[in-house]
Amino acid sequence: MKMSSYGRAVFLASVVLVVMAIAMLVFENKLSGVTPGLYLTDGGLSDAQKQSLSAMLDLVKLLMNWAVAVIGAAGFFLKLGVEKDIPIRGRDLILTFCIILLSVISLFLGHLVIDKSSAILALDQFPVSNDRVRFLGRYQYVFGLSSIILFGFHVFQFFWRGKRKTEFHVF
Amino acid sequence: MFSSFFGAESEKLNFMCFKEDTVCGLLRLSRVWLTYFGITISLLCVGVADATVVRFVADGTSLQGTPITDKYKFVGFVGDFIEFSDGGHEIAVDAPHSYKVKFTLTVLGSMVSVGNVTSEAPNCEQALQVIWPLPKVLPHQDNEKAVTISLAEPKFGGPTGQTECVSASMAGCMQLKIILDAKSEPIGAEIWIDGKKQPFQTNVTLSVPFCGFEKQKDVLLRRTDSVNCMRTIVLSPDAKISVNCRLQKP
Repeated sequence: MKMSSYGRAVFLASVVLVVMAIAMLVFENKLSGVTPGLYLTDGGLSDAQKQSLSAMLDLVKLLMNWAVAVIGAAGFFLKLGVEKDIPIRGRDLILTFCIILLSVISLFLGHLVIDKSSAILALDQFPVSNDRVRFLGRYQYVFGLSSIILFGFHVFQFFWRGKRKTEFHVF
Repeated sequence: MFSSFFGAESEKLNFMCFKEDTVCGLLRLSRVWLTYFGITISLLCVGVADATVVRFVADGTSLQGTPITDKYKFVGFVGDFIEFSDGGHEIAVDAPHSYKVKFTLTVLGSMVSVGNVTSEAPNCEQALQVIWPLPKVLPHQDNEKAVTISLAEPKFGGPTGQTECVSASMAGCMQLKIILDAKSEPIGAEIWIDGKKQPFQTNVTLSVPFCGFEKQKDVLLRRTDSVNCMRTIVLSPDAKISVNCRLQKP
């Protein structure tokens, strides 16, 4: 039995989403423990450490807000295409799907940074200098940046297509 | 010394046995048991007083510098000087193909013996045929009190067709902590907690997390050309525990 193009695409997207969800759960479970680290002097943060932690959490939240905004904007472009009667091509959908995936991964990593930081603080360690927190924060940034760049590309190709269509109308 | 002591006991017994009866017979019998009991206790006392420093050396290259555990507790690497208390030990050495080669080590004073060689296949992988000769116990070249155990190169053959799987637990746990003050003389020793190397060196104060069900942790301080210092710490939430070792040359 041959699958239709729609059936294949939906099946593939479902498999990707399920695999991603399982991988996220396994990854979070793997990182659930906290490793031994330097004990905070007198069990408390110094003023400089407090400021450093606050700046790090602000940055994490900023990247999470960016990821949410990119998901919304990608959805908006799909809606725009439907409203303006511009045919939606397969590559538009794939691009939007990839942008949303990258943003979700970035959000997930941001959530892990905050979760891990609170667990580390509860054990009288300084989260900013923790290797795992830095690793998660770095990849949150990489995935967030990738989704923004891909979104930029998507916007460019979307309008470029519209431009060519307009030129055709003129001629 | 023992004979004179038990000789005196014997005279006392003879003095008490002025009449041959059942009580006297029992006393004579107990005299023999007392002698055995005394000798056994004395041997045990001599044994408990000592611990032996053992250096593991590899004959080939594959076991060079690999981790060694004793009853699943990390105690050092092949090439290290490791102190073993009297009694039985179950030694496992990491081998190629993610295998573990194992043997028993019995220490009694300065007497060291090895035996019962086995091997353990990696989890969920097909077992291979393993040939590993019994390690040799040799006197240490520079130190009379130390012993060298020479580990031969394990040889691996074809698969046996057997596979064993133990599934790892996925459950998280409530994390508590102890404050570990790790000090050594001289400073700069590596810190290993439950067989994992920490990115810190002595002297340092660490916050060490543990799961609520854990009762103890093994802390090892290790420095090149010194006898490893192994301590087992009992875990209690927020306790401040100090591990202070004088790392001696073997």
